[in-house]
Amino acid sequence: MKATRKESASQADAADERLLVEAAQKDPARFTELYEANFERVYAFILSRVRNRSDAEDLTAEVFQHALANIKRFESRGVPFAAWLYRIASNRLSDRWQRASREQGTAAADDRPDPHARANPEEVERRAQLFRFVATLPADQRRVIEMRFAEEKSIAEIARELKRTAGAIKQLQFRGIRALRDRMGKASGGDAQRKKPAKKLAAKSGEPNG
Amino acid sequence: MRNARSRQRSWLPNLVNQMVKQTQSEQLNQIVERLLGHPDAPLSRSAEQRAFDPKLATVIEVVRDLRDLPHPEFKARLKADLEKQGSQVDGESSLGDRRASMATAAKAVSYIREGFHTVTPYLVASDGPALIEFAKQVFGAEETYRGFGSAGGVHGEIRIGDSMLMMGGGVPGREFRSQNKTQALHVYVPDTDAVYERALRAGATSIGAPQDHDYGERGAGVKDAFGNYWYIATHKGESYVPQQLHSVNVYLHPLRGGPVIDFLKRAFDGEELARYASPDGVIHHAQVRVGTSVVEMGEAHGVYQPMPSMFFVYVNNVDAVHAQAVAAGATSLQVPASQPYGDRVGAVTDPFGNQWYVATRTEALPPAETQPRDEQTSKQQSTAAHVQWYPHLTFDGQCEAAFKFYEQCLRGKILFMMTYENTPSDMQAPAHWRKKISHATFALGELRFSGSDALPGRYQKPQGFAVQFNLSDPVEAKRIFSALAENGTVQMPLQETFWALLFGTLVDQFGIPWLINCEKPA
Repeated sequence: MKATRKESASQADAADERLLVEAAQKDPARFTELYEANFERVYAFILSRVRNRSDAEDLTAEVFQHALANIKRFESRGVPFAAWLYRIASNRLSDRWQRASREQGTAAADDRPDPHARANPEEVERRAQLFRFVATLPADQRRVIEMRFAEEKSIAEIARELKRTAGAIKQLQFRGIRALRDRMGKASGGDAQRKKPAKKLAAKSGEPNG
Repeated sequence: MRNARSRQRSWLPNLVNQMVKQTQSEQLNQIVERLLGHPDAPLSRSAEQRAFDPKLATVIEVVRDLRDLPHPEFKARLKADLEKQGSQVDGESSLGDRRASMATAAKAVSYIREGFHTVTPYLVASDGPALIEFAKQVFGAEETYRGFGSAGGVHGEIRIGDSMLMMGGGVPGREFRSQNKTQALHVYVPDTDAVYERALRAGATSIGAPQDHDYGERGAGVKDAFGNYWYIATHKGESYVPQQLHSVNVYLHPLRGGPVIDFLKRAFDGEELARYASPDGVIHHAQVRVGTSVVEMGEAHGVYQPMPSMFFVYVNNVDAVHAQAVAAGATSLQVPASQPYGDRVGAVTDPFGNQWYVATRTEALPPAETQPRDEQTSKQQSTAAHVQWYPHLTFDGQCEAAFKFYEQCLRGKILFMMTYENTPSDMQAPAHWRKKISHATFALGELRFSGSDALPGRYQKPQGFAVQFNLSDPVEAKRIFSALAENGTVQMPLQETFWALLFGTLVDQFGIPWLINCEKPA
């Protein structure tokens, strides 16, 4: 009973995604819907391999710009859109490391992360899920979490900017993180399982025709 | 407007509760500090678990993952960039220099008229100039445009801080009559008290004297002579305008917030940012992001009752959004059409009575064209609903070629051109017709005509109809006549007549009949 519901939900997801892809192919301005649905995933995937915010941002932008420019050539053939994005990302990562090793010699290339070492897809998906949950937190909690982690600010800096006491900021941080933990706990029970684009998918995906 | 949830607990458990929370939040912060400070330090999870309250242990994983949280500004900037890239006719041509295009995207999203945000309130008053005067006196608004319609109505545009407002309505002493169309606005100003005082002096009545609110702002409320509610506020923070909001934000008071939030999501791809509801489900305050704007709302109560209002919304594809809004339950008020002021505009009425004028900027007019014009010559109308009159030419699949031909002959330019494949559900065009033109607009100075390709089998040659072109310069008349005649049929060569210096008729190679008329100087 539970399994069938999950299955039909994932079929509905796939159908939704197909519609989004078709809309974007007809009208590239609609691509932003695909972007919204996949941004966190792609970012988390890339960051799991570069561990540097500005590189991750550059590469994430490149992946989506490449995908948008080539959206008309994407054929789903049952492969999730995310898998195609992962494929583009992998290629970009390889390119980047090859360039880096050419430019900096083998010494630099030696301590690079191996772009072919697969980041655990469940872990990537879990992080993406977490990032999406942050956006649903009450505004004040979300702001504190974003300032603390994305903008890497100290409690004192945040307190100063938001005109609150350090204690209040710590409280908001605590409440935000606790809410995220609760939601992640619930998600791993049901939601997260059907949303994982497994290792298989990334391997199965092909480049668009050409 | 906003209610803090009131907790009615006795002070003792409350205090204990707070102390527990204090220690927990302090402990958690130590973990955060460690994880942020030494990103590569190996984390022994069991050690962490022993060191701290075991209840916090499960949280550690969340904190570690949060270190990778993407910067929200980056996400928004990239989205704007992709939107821009996607809205260019051919998505493949524009990769170019990414950084350069990111910079432009951050500066302005091209489909939004310069200086505007996504949502602009449109206030209509029986005495339009008086309302504009009120905004200038009270908020120090800057008037950037004022024009008058042929019926005598006024259309004005003003700026408060970083936001634009449109205002219109009747003008005393003129025929044109206008009903008030009011709304509530949340306006951030540097000094709430001073603005509140000025508003009362300018004839507004108080809804609420200035006071500090626990959500971090000082606020007051007034109602102007035409019934608009102005929620004046000063945010306590680095800036008097809070992050994400603008100087002027529209504020709705629906009977029920849920359906309105749902409509904004479906019609305008809105994103719910916040919702504060009491346990009985009443929404005291909610925020929905629509493009670069935030629409705020609080469910109707007391003096705060629904005011069906009017909004002007810039979107990247007016035809798609118009269709989307109708699918979300709105009624079409105006099918999207190109307007001489450089916007393509459509309109809908939502299920709650609000009117949304949806527009895409199709042309960046030079400043001269958007500057205030002389009353007599102004072609601006009193409201966003324009009355326009120009010919629409129909072609049998050659619209694009014809318009390019006209660009050369008439030395005008194509303002807008859209193929069937870019319209909602292709407008039933068969596959081989998708690249044909569903709508195009041609401009020559102030003159406009539009054109399209008829669907296959539906084309009819124009009969009993011609486009007349009046010129004063005989040299230019000759040039245009011979240019248009190329591969076409001259019916009456250009010649002197009893009324004209030069007059001639022809049917061009695309089947359009033209009259070229160069009158004798008076």
